[in-house]
Amino acid sequence: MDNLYSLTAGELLGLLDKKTINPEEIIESVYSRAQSVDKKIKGYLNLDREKALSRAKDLPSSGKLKGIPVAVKDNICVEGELTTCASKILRGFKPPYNATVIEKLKSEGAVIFGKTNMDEFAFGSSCENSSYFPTLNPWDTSRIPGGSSGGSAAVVSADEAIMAIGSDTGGSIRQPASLCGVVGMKPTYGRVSRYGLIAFASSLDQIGPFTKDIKDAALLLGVIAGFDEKDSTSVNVPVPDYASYLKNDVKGMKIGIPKEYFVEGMDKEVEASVREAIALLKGKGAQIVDVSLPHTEYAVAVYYILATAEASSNLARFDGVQYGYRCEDPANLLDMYERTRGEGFGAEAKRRIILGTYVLSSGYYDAYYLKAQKVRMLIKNDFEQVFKSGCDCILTPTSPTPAFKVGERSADPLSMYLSDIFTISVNLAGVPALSMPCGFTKGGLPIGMQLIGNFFEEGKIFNAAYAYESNTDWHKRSPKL
Amino acid sequence: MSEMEEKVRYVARLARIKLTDEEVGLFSRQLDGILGYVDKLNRKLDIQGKTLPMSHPHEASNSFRADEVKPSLPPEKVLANAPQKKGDFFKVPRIIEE
Repeated sequence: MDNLYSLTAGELLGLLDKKTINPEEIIESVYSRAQSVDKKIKGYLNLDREKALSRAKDLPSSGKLKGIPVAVKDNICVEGELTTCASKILRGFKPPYNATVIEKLKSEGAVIFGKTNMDEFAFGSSCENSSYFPTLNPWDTSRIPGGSSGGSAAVVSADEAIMAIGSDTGGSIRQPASLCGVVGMKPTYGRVSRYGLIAFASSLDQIGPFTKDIKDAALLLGVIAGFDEKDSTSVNVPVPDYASYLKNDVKGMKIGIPKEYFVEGMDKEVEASVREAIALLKGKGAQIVDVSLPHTEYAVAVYYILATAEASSNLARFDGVQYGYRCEDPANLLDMYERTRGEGFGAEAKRRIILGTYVLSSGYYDAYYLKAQKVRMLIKNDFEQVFKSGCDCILTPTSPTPAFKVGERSADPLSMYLSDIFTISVNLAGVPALSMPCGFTKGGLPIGMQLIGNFFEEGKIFNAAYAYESNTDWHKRSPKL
Repeated sequence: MSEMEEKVRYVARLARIKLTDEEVGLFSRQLDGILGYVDKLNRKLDIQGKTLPMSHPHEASNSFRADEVKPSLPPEKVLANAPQKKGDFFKVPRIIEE
């Protein structure tokens, strides 16, 4: 059977059930697709056909994802497989254990399929900060795919993967999903174990799915979610059957539209597409209400203080002692630390460690770090107020613009940081959010919208998203490659 | 050297990162811009005493698991990634000067 690579996991599972196809055929199809298109996209850092095939021969007797290949962002540990965070400082690192999400995927029969490119240590919004090479947008290879999980978004968009997982600290799943025209979700903080995710900012990081449609997103989240005693921040709340929320019915659902997310200067085509999506849901019986998230304008500032502070602490472990890169001929221990880190980290990693160390340093802690923690509370309160007022979901654009040109923002870190303006608050608050396709620009670039839910209410997001998807066909378009 | 460049050199030392002179110049200009931006929290927002700092999305409390012995990773697996090792140890340059 041809073109298995273009199908969703749901469709492939149906064919596997009927025994029309076998898992090896899926691997071969997706692998040969990657062979022919990844030269242009460069979404994979590592992809090994033999390894994937041998994994497909050794599957459990049953499983929710039995025989489905899943690509994995390069900051998630896969035992014995290169895991570098797209950083030189972790060149050659092969983890001695699997992340919990990898164990969960394997126990449900998923085939771990390649490691995807990213901004180094997830520092970036364009995938240009990879130490190896930039990934390009499948819809227009002169543009960036978004980041930091740009590789995962691009390979799903280009049909080089059926599904993928990524991580989202300030929008790193949703923004690239939006820019590449696929579905991406950041679950509630604590919903998915972070054990084996190489930490960027521990109070913000979450692992989540990239898929071709909403049904697959519900399926993949159901597999990776759940309490894990190895992650003390994972929360012991039962995982519902997300498939039961996939209803083409939003009658009576209350959807909030925050005025702070429709701002002066945002892309007109993005705004028009999102407004049309709101009108569609209203036409299907959803109750649309204006809401306010008044501290939105401070989110980027709060985020770049807290995220860099946490990163500066988390990245202290890369010191040339236990793994990864060590500088040549160190004169003494201090020289080894300083040169290993100076030579091993890329520019953005160094910039963030410096900023994070600065805001935590004596004399600046209160003005920056403590202040940001307080404003973070105000941002969380904003969301709680909206959900307390009876909203089931909040709907916003995912990114203020479609995919920008390679190189356009790389010289100005602040302009890059501002591309996350609509996704960052969600991580600060800890609530779940999903990005899905809601249109295209005249130039053919995907536009994404974001559905935000209350804590642990991913199900309601899936309901609204599925209803919207059932009445549109944006998700069925594919880039011409 | 500008005040910001001095700060960047000081902080790089704290963070144990060797920077080139070009990097010090570039980062101090960029950090000036970023700090100017994030300082809006101090310029525009007066929340004196009104709110508690938030370090974590959920009400944080200690998270305990049963105190049971479980197998740990074998030393050879842990040491497999070491840049330098000797026996069952990570090898580093001499720490105590002669």
